[in-house]
Amino acid sequence: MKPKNKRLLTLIAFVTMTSLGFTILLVSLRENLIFFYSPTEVFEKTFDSNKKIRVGGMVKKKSVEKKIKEIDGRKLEEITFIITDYNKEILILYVGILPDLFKEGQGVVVEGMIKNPGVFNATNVLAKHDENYMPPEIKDIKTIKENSNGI
Amino acid sequence: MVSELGFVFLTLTLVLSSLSFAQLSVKGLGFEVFNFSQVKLTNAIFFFTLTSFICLTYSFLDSDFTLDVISKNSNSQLPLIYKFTGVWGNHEGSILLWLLVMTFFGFLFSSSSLVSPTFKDEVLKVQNSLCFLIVSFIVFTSNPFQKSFPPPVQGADLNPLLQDPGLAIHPPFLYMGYVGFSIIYSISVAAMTEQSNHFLKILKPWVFMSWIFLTCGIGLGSWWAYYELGWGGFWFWDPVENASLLPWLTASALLHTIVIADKKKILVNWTIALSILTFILSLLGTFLVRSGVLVSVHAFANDPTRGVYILLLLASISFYGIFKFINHQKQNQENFHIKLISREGMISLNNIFMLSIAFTILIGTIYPLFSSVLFNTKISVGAPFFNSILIPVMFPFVFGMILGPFTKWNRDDLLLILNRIKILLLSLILFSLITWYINFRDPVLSIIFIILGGCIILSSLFEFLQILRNKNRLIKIPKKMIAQILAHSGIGLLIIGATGSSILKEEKIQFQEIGESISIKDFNVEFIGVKKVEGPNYLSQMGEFKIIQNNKLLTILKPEKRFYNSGKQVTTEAAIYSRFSGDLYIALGEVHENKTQWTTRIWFNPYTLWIWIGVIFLASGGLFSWFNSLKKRK
Repeated sequence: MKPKNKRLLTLIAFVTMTSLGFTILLVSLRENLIFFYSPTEVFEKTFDSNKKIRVGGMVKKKSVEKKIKEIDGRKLEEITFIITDYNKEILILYVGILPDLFKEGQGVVVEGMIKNPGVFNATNVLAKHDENYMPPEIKDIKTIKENSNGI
Repeated sequence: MVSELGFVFLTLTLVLSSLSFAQLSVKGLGFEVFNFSQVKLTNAIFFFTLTSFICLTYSFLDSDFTLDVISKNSNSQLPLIYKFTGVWGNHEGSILLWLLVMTFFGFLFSSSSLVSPTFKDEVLKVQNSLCFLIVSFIVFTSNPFQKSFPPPVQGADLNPLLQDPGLAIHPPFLYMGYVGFSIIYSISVAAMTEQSNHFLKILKPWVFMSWIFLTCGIGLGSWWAYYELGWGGFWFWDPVENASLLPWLTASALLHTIVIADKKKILVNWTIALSILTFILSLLGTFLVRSGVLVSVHAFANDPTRGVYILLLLASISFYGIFKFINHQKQNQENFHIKLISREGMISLNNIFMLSIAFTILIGTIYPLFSSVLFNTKISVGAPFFNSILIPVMFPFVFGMILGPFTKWNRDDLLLILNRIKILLLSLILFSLITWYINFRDPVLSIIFIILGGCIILSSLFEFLQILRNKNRLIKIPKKMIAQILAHSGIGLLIIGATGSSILKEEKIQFQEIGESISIKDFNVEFIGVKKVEGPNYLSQMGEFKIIQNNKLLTILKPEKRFYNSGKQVTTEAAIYSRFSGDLYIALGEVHENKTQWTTRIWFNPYTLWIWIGVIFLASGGLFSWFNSLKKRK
C-alpha cells in the first residue's frame, strides 16, 4: 500500500472510532441522567415508575415518622417524612439510616422513584458535608420562601 | 499581633510575586525592562509565605477568635492536633496551604544545581507568576487574616467530619499532587521558550513526585470516606472525586509518555501538551471544589465571587499554556512513525485509553453544569453512566497492560510476543478457568473483573520471575521494571478490590434488638448493647457487637454515633473488621422509642483491603521511578 493511502486509512479508522466512541458516550449519558424536581414540578408532570429522579425541598416540621415493618423476616425501620417547597408537599418513604445531617426544617435531596401517585420511594437520602451548605436547588426554594414571608 | 504580621508577610509575597508577573507580561509584549535574580525572589517569596502560614498556624493553636476563619472553624476545646489541622480545614487556610506548597516547590527547584541558570530563571518566572495569581486570589477574595467583628468568646468549632486523622492528612497530600503539576506546567512553558529537549530529564522527577502525592491523596480521601461517612462504599462518582481523578489519569498518561520522550526524543510536544493539560485539570478540580457550582457532597458554603475569580485564573493559565503550545507546535513539527506492535505503540495505546477515560469522566462531571446554564434543567449524572463506559473500556486496557511490558522497543510481532509468554498465557487461562469454576455462582461481571485483575497480577509476577532468572546471570535488576511491576500489580489489586466492594457486597439493614444475632456471609453479629462514652469534645454512643464465626469469637466491633458539644452535629464512626477476604462493616443508626432496639447497618465488603494495598503498590512503584529519575538526572 502506498504511504498516502495508508495515512488515509488510518485517518478514516481514527474518525470512525472517535465518532463511534462519542455516540456511545452520549447515548449512555442520556440514559443515565437523573433529573431534579421540586415538589411543585412533581405534581405537574407524570413519571415513569422505573426512572430514578431527585426531589429536593425542606423537610416539613413534625412530619418525620418511624415505623417498624417486617420485610423478609427482618425487622426494618420505615421512615416517612414530607418534603415541601412551601407550595406543594410530597410524602417520602425511606428504609434505611438517615444521614447525620438530616433534620426537620432543613433542606434535603432524595433520590428514588414514584411508584404510586403521591408517594416517593427514596432509595437514597443525600448527605452533605457541611451544615451551612445548601444545594443550589434548595437555595432557590428558600429565597421563594423568604420573599413570600414564610407561608 | 501575630495575625497582623501574617497579613503583612502575605502582602509582601503579593508584591514580590507581582514583579515576576509584570516581567512575564512585559516580555510577552516584546520589551525587556527589568532584570533581577528570579532565584533570590523565589526564596524570598517562599520564606514570606512560610512565615505567613506559621502566623496563621500560631493563631489557630492560640485560638485567636478575633480572626474570622478561626472563629468559624475552631474552638478552644478542640484537641490540639485538630486545632493544627483546622488550619487547612477551611477554604482560606487551605488555599494558603496551596500557596505554601507552590512556593516551596519553586524554592526546591531554585536550589537545584543541575539546571542551567537561564532555564532556571525562565521556569521560576512562570512559577512566580502562578504564585502571584494565587496570592492575589487569597488577598482579595479569601483572606485568612480577615478580622471578625465583634470577636466572639468561643469559636463555632471545626466541622466534626473533619476531626479525623484520615482527613487531616488527605488535603496536604492532594495539594502536593495538584500543586506539583504547577512546576510541571512552568517547566513545560519555559521549555517552549528555551527550545531544548534537555528539560525532559528535569521534568521527570517532578512528574513522578506529583503523581505519587496525588495517588496517595486520592487513596486517603476514599479511605476516609469509607470509614467515616458510614455509607459502606469508597467511591461515589461525586464531581469532586472525579475532579481529582482527571489530573491523575492525564498524569498517568504523562508518566508513561515521558519515558518514550526521554529515550527516543519523540512525542516531546505531546509530553508538553499533557503537562499543561494536567495542571489545567488540577485547577479545574480546585474550581469545582471551591466555587460550589456543582451539587456535590464536598461543596461548602461559598462566596460566588471566588468562583468567578478562579474561573478567570483557570482561563488565563489555560490560554497562556495553550497559546504558547500552538506557537511552539507550528515551529517544531516532529516527524516520526510509531508501529502499533512495539513498546512505543503500546504506550501510545495506554495514552489513548487514559485520555478517553478522562474525557468520559470530564463530560459526566461538567455536563450538569452546562445543562443548568444552557437548558435550565437540573440534572445529575449517576454512577451507572461511569460504569457503563468504563466497564467495556477495561478489557482492551487490561490486555494492553498484560502485553505491553513484554513488547520490545521499535518493532515487534504479535506472534513472537505470544510465543515469548506462552507459559504465562497458559497459566492465565488455567487461572481464569479455576476462578470461574470456584465463583460460578457470583454475578458474571464480578467473575470477569476478578479474572482481569488477577491476570494483571499474574503477568507482573511472571515478569518478576523473569528478572530473577536474569539476575543469576549477574545482570542488575532494572529499577524501572520493578516500578512498572509494582504499579501494574497495584492496578490489578485495585480492580479486584473495587469489584468485590461494589458488585459482591452484601448489605443488611435492620432493627436489631439488644442480644439479637444477625448472620451475614458466614459471620454472626451479636448486638451486646450501647454505652455512653465521653470524648474530649463530644459524647459518644458506642455500640458493641460480637463477631462470631464458626462459634468462635473473632473480635468485638464498636461503631459509634458522636454528638459534638459545640455544633450540635452528629457523626457516624463505622467499625470495620478487615481481612483479605473482606471487611465486616457496621454502622450504628438511631435508637427506637423502646430503647432496646437500634437500627444497624451491616455490610460485608469483599476484598476492600486490596484497594488500599493496591494504592500502596501504586505509590511504591512511583517511588522507585522517582528515585531512579532523580539519580539519572546527572
